Amino acid sequence: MTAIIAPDATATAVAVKPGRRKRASVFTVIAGVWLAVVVIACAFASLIAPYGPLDQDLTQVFAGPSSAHWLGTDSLGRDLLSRLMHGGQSTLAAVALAIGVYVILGSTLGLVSGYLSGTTDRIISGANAIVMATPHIIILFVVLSIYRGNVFLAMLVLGLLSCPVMAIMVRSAAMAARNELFVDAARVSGLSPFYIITRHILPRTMGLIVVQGAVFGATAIVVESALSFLGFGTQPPAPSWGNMVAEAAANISLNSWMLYPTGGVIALSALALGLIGDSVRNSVTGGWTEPKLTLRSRKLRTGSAGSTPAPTDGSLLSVTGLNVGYRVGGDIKPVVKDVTFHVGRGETIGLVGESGSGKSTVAFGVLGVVGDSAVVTAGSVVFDGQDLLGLAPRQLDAYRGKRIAYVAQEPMVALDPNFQIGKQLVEIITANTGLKGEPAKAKAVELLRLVEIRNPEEAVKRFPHQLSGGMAQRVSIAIALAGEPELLVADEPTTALDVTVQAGILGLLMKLRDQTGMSVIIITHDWGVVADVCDRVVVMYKGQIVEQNTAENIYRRPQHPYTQALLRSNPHGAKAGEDLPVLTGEFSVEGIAEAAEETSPDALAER
Amino acid sequence: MTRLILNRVAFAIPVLFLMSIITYFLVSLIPGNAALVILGQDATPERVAALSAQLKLDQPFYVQWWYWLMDAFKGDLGVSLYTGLNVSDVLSQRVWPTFFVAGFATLAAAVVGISLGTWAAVKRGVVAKVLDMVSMLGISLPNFWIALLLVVFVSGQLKLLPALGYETPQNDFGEWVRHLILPVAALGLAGIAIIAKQTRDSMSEALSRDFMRFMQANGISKASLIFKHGLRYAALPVVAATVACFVNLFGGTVALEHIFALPGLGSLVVTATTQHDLVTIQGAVLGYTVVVLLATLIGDIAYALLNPKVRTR
Amino acid sequence: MSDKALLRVENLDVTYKLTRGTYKAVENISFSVDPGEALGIVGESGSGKSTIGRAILGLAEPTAGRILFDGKDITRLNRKERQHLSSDVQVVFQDPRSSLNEAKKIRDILTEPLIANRQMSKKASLDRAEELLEHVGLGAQAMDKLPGSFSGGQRQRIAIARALMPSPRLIICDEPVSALDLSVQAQIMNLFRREQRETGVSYVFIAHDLAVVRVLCPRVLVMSAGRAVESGTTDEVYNSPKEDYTKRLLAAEPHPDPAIQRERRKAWNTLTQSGAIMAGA
Repeated sequence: MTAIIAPDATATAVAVKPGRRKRASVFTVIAGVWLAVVVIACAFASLIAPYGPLDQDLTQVFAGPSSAHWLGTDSLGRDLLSRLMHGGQSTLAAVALAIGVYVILGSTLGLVSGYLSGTTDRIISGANAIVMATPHIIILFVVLSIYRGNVFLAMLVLGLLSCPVMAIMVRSAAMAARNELFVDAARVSGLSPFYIITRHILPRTMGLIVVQGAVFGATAIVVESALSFLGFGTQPPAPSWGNMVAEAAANISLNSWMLYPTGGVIALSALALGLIGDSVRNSVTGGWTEPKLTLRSRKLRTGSAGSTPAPTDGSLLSVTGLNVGYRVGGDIKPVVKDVTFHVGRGETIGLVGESGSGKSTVAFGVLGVVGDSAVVTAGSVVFDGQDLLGLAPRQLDAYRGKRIAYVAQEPMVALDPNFQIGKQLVEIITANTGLKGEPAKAKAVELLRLVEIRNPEEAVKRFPHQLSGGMAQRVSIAIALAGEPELLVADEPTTALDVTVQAGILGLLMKLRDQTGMSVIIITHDWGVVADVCDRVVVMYKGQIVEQNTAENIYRRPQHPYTQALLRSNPHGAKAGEDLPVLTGEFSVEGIAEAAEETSPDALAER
Repeated sequence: MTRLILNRVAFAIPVLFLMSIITYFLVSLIPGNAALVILGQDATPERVAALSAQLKLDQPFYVQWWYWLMDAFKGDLGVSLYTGLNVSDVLSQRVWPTFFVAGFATLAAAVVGISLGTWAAVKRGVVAKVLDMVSMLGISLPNFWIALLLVVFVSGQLKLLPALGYETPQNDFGEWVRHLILPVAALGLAGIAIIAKQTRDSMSEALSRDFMRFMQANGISKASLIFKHGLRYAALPVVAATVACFVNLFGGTVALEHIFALPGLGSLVVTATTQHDLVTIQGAVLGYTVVVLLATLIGDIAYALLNPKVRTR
Repeated sequence: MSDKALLRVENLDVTYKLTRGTYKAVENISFSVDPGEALGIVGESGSGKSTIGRAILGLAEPTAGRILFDGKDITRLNRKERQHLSSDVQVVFQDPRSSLNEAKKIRDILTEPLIANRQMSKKASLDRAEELLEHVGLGAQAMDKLPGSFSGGQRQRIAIARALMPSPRLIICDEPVSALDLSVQAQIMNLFRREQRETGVSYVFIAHDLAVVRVLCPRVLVMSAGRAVESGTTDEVYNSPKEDYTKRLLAAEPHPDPAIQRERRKAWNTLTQSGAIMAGA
């Protein structure tokens, strides 16, 4: 057993993933510029405003926009633009105060209660719940009726009353961050809670805090102007955005123009804050989560089926020249390249490879559930004489669950957490066999008995969270068997399970296979699983098949260097107290090992 | 479930106590003397003092609060010193316009918002981006401004609907509806934004769950996965958002009632605060708090019903 | 071996408080680790093996028993004492994604704990960090990158470098290779072995994978349901297990040779069907 190259050859730290940082969208830039212009215009109103806020010109009342008055004039001929600039001073300052209180108090409370938990958390959470159960707007009115016109105090109170929202969101983010292992590592180093909160937790919650702050800012602008609209804020004749709308409203029957610039500036400023918050949110969360549901109604294959017609060698399934890629921007990044293999009736095939080898994508291609960002660019998947890739997804319903079924890797998340397992089984049974009502329920119990779940009459009433991992995997096997499929695709069905549970599940799968005569494709990275259940093995590396043979031959006489290396790096055969042989470098499908300078060995493992 | 409701009620009591004592304290800071207001500026100091003593206005605020609380337990929220009306009666009339406007706005927002949000989650791409923009607009457009625009266009220029006033449903159902449409529209827009966004987020998350692929691969149709499993998965946060939306809108009608001249709780509060009408404000705060607490209770019950981990405990 | 033991755990109990009742995660566990030795702790999920590691690290609170490091009682330490101990006892966790703070550069991840604790000057810690990054096979150019730009295996190398920063005498390894691909797993195992050869560091190596433990650990402790089932030299325990649980655990592990595995499968079926041992109980 020799290592292919020295185990600790220096690997360069290549950036595997390109930075995900997106450029700010046009809207975000416009929003930022707008806010900057508004803030500067208001801050320097006394210098740059064309007129004073109270300068009247009674010859020019209710004028529309003109070169002298860009936004027109009001009932006393005062310049609207100048009044908006001056009026914005108190509005923006008050909003800034509210945001400040909201952000600082809310995030501090959230961080402290989320990180410390226990009694501190209970006290803070209780106080938050009480404050949230109060009618905020009414409290603002009470405050304003005592301190009439004191918008600053009102906005301070608004910040105080609203900050539980921030606190609760930051708390759950902090609790999540607290469970991260890097926080444990920091605690092992004896770092103080203050240090951990400020240096570790805070950076992780920063995005959320900015988003919440911006969204609250938008609300605060609206609330501030609503208050002064109702006459509880800055008192006329001094301008504020809100009391200018009120003035416009009072003169609505005489002239409605005033309504647009006054309300517009409020709406646009609030919108700008909201947009900035939204774009921060998208960059923090990385935008969209990829749906696991394949939603499109076009057929899966975009390219040709390939020249190879379906072989008629009696195979149940023939995958020929399969190419699958993921859309990344405008390009298609290939993840499965020219994959060809066959599955005979009653045969068990192992698809073996490391992460990023494309083995799961092949399985999803067979099932027609590749997801919407994947495209089958070429190839065919012929099942019992029918090319599945040439069918519309709706036509695939005649195969899925009825003739080809699927068992997933993580049993706990493969079941819908909101439905009792009996309900889920009955839905699958009805969809795949047409049985309804009592017969379907009886069939559900029978299926659970088939997968050796004790007391199946009781088990149908359970929810997924009440099952152990092994039981959940048995339930998902029962679901897969509901339509009595001819082919079962099992994607790492035991990887998430303990080794003794694994032995039971694999034993069950073999027993069911032998009873029903179905074919099985099992996807795995574990040579032990291969040896346990597979007749033949297909070894994949970087989206391609490097070798396929019987399980026996692959183990005894691996032909391809990658297969050889993968088998040898399995710790099972290693001698105690000796270094493990290490596989590294790049392999070509033809079987020639290439130099390892460019890519680190670990990049192999990178998805 | 029963325990959850009892917990909520146990929580509600201290909140109500706290709210009432805080408002009493705050309102006691209002400068001016209610007795003087009632008797007018010409009253002799002796008469003012006599009336103050009779109304216990010369006592510290906590003593006044205590008397008020004892009466409140009997369902008597006192008589407004300014209008002479019984506050309990006033509240029970005033609460309805506000409740109808906020309730219908929430209902409309839920129907439109959930549909839009689901659509955006399924379509993604451009549809989702447009929805993002629209919901941002909904959140940032001040409802009083939308209300004024509606008044200008729908009532002023098109003369389709009345701009002002209110009619009870018992009196004239048609007029009641016609008077509610504009306020509900002005208020509901923000609600649509909030609910649609929450639905979009939760639904996207639902669609990215592993069980979606598992179920689809085993023969469950797309429609069932979206509308049964997906919506069920998204229901919890969406219901929470809807409850929060109602609470927000209920408190957010103040400016609208002012614009549309609706005789609701909001306009009651505005008038009472300008008139130093302590008894009415106190009653209104109590009323608002009860509504918020009830809405939260309904939200909690929905949460317990929808979450199997809570239900199966 | 008892006198020179670096780590000694005596009758350790850890009980978690749950919303309803309590949960005994670890019950009456005793073992010791000598300087330069590696002890493997194997068990299935829920066996309490990770809790032992967390108790030694001060992340879980022991409800009974003692933990001694170099003769000194470390069962319950305040933060200052924990800080002091951290130059001797370090940790490498399972999930290389979660164990490095994504928001920090590698240089800060490696040096900050030492600088914050005033265990090393900034200059000295930066030099040490560069040296260790070279040592674990990443090169000093990794210093200014964020964890997001590294693969799982590379991150685990960084986590190991972080653990090595203060030149510890004991490293608790909690499933350090179980999230990695086979090929990467082999490299990381070799790195652990080389480190021990060169510095004489001791390991407590917690894993569910029996084969992995055998590569690194001459001695092993088998756990189930919070209790120690069996312990001894790895050869002894693996080749002639005494307890039923250990037998079942060993029998369940599939062998990569299809011919051998067929026999093992038959043996497993007999073992579970005999009723003596229930599968997946």
